[in-house]
Amino acid sequence: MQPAETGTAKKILLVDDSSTVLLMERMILQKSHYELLTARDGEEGVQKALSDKPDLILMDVVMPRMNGFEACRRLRADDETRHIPIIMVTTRGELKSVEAGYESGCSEYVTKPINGLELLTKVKSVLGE
Amino acid sequence: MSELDRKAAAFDRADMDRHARELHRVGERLKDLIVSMRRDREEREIQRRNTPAPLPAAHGAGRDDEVRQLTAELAVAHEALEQRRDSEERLRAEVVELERENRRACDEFVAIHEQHTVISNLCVALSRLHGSIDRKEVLAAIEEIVVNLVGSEEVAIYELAPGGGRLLLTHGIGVVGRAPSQVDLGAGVIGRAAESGCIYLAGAEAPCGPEDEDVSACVPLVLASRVIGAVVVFRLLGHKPGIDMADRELFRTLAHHGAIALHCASLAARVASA
Repeated sequence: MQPAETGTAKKILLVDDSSTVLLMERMILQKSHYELLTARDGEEGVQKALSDKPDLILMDVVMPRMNGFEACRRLRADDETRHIPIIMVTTRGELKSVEAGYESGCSEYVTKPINGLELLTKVKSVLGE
Repeated sequence: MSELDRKAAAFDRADMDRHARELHRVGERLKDLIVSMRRDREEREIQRRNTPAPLPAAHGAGRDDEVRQLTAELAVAHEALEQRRDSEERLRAEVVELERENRRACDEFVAIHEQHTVISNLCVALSRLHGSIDRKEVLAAIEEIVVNLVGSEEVAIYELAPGGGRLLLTHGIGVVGRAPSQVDLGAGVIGRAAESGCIYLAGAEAPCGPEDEDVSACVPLVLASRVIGAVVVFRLLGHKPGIDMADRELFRTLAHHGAIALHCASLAARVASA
């Protein structure tokens, strides 16, 4: 069931320093009627997660000020945000990066270039749709 | 006792004797009757035990009817079973057909989503390339398109030198020690692609030399049939198997619109500095 049908749009926070990626994620997700928020680095991502309490976070890894792994650890350490699922979206597809992602507390891992169907499937799966 | 009393007493005794004899006779007759009834009852009992129960009328004909009825029912059951088997076969065939249809629909669904990804990539690339007339931002957009939409973190952007004849490296990421700072037109895969204006893809033709082994693609930036530069993609990300159809479409878009965007940015810079 689409979020709009229930009357409550799920909120997804997109954290990436690349305008290209943010635009791509918007194109993939907007037709599913999610409310989309953006942040341009890990620190801003943590702040927005605390203030807006999204239902899901799509997190890049390589970012200025605070990378995605550190941001993930911070969110997991905070009682207010530890429950929010996080999907890492990154060019880092090596096994050790994937392991590092899960160790930092992410729920899922998606590599770039983003496959729209894969991302959408994982988003819906994590949100329980 | 008077004569009369003697006669009365004698009369009573006679009467009594007579009644007694009468009663005795009746008693004897009752006894005989009882004995006779008992004897009759015993004989009937013996007779009943020794005589078998008579059969119902017409027994053999009923059995035949029953057999005929059962045979008919069996035939009906056989026919029903055959019909059920046929129905089952038909349903199995329908299930197989539905599964085939489902697989086809799934394949179509995936293909449509792949097409959607291709189109989304192109929309995003166009939006980014033409989203700014600032040269730095245009170069950053080209770099981001290759990094995030194609899948390589080794990108070099060359522009034609003012006098022509060679390309100069003006922007790069992850290419230190890999991308030459300048390339003569016609030299190596980069120079040849820039000279011809045709996109080079690794594997389509053999690289000229070891210095070109890491070049995955060279995309000449073409403005009105004139090459003004080139985008060179070196090694792809480890998890990316190779250049696919979506990447080729992006390269075609970069070749044309990347050139327009850079040219517009150059014009804007000239206007701003004028």
